[in-house]
Amino acid sequence: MSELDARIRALAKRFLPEWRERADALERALLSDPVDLPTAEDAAHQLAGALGSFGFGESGAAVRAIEAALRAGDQAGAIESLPGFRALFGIVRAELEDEKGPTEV
Amino acid sequence: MSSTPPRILVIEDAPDLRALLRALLADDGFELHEAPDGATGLVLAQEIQPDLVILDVGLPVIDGVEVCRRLRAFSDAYVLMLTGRAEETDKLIGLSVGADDYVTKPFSPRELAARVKAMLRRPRANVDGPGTDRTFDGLRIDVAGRRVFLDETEVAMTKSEFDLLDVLSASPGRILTRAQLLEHLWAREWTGDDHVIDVHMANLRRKIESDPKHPRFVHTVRGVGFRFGGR
Repeated sequence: MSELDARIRALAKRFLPEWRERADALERALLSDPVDLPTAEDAAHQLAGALGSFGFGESGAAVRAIEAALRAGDQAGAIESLPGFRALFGIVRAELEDEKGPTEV
Repeated sequence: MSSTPPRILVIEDAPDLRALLRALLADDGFELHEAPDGATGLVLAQEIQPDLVILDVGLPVIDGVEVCRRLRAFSDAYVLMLTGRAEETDKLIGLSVGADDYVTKPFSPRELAARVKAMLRRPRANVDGPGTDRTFDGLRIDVAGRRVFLDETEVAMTKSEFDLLDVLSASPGRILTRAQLLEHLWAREWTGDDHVIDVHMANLRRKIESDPKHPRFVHTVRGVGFRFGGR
């Protein structure tokens, strides 16, 4: 791992609690009745930009799909995509919480 | 590049992305400043006069496009816009209000850093000696001063617009392809699409041509590129 990669990894660890809170906020907003659209869209947008840019491409793409569905007015599609995102974000969490874990591509 | 370190202003509301940009650029000798919103960014830009601004389009209250428009009233800094994939049109709007380039979120940290460095060390087409003007039918280009005059009235140019006009007017009649122009403007690290050139060219023509559809100075050579002067 290069010095830059190590620095980015350390930053990701620092921001993990924030991302976790956003992921929880996204889930709460999507599962509320009615769906809390502004909160869900904002959380999905912020997570998509951050996760992808920090190198967590798969979980970033999954949450971006949720964001796209919400923007297209497809709330059911967004809710359907939630478990997939949670699973991929769980991998990110596990990786960052365990330094010896595998690195997501 | 001057001996003073290039000054970069990051206007981005997400703390994690600001931190990522700081980590990317901190070791390259840049003087880095940050603002979490457009209003703060504009005040800071007036104060520090940055060489380059990394500007998020999706800022709250005053969005990045409006920030860019206001910034252009007092700054010719390079502007690199960060846009989301769902904001495709923002890229074009951003370029039309004076941004030089854009990067889509999520971005590759290394690509973004390379893009920033390439912009800050753009080669200039200084084929003429210092103080030499190029004059063409009412259009005067002060190469050394990086100023342009149309019928002796100064025309405000962004850095990208001036660089395009500079390289084209250095060789009147010579056709330059989009790829050559991109290589000139962004050096080898440039990895974006060549549509950027067309947008900057349209902006340039709006400023120097009385009828952009029938240009006097910069001509499109269909399927090839652009040529300064001559028909």
